Amino acid sequence: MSLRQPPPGPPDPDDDPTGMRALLSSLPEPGPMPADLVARITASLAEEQERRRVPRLLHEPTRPHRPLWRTAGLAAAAAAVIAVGAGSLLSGTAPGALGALFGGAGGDTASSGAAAASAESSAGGAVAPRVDSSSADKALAVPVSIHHTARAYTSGAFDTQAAALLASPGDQAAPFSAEAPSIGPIGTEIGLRSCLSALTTDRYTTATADLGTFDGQPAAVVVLTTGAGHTAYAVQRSCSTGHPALLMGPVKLR
Amino acid sequence: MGGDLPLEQRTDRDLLAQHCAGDGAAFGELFRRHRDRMWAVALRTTGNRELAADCLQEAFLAAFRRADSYRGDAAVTTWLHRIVVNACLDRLRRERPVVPLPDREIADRHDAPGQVETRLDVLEALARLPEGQRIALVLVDMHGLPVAEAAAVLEVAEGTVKSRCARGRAALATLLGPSVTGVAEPSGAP
Repeated sequence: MSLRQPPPGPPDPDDDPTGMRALLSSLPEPGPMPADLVARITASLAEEQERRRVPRLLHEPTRPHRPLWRTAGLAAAAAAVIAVGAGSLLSGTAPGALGALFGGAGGDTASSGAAAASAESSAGGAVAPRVDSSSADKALAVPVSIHHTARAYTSGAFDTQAAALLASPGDQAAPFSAEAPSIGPIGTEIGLRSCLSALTTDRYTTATADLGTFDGQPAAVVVLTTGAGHTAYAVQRSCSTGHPALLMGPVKLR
Repeated sequence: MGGDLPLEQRTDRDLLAQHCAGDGAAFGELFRRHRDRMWAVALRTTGNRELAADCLQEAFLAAFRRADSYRGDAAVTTWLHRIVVNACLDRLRRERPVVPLPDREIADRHDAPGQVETRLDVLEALARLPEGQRIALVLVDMHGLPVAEAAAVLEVAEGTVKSRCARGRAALATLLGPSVTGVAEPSGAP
């Protein structure tokens, strides 16, 4: 009787006469990813996320989608305006009647002029953006940065301190994807944007927020950059849509 | 697809699919879930904290950007491991010439083999192994990946992983010597 030899092949990984497998598996884990690296990667992912979103927004129409039937209605209204307008010029009809006619056909554009309506219809919808309807999209496309310096801002030196934040914001904090209980909604990008919508309707190009204290209480300082300069606000960390929780501001920075 | 569930209750596959569909929070949850394990893999593969940090940042960004390359034929963690290991290997191949070799032989300095010293010795010896053997040992022996999964991460046959592990362990044992391994050298060994 002969012993059957095992088939030739790679060694069984469990068969380890060297003892190295046991040694390697007994080494302690390196521990969690360091916080600074978590913050660094989270920030770069947030940037990437922003980059992914901005091109989409830039290519979206800057006005709400209008159903085809309403566009057709506008075109018909514009044609009616031209026809009636020409007639009224000849007959002296009051302009108010034209507005009523246009409003009836165009719905939400009752306050718009006939010139805008005809531009929209003649350009196939490629009309200049209306600020009110596009502001939300534009706000989303604006880069925001969140810092967590824990600076102690005071009402007495607020303008200087806010200017210092702008000059040297420090490393960007990891933007929390979910609200951190100790920080509040403003610690997230969505939360900050919602706070900004409560603070101002002005157009701004960048927003910088710093989580620190204001006169001793937890707060966030927000600096908005507009075409006219920089404006700073101090808000409670509960600041969100419809609830600015303003502590100070707006303060124009020099 | 689990989209109604809280983030932490969604599966990795759902999160990746939702990320591809434009969900801005899904990838963050994947990162939160797997960052510590990937950190350990990167650290043990490179043996250098700064290098591991850079590799991981590159790897997670690559995963974010190329999420649609995930075909679903392996676990998301396998796919992530592959991206991290490849990022580390790419980086090591570029940086390897500047990694200094130790002045002394590892086996010569076991007068006081404390636990920390042993760990450092093991990691140093690991760093001296050929790349394929080192990665195989990191994945299979240190992180407990099944051979099949390690083979999927490395995109090689399972037999290759087994061979690399066996050769790597033997080389490691030689580098470390008997005082660390606790395994007696064969009689008659020089």
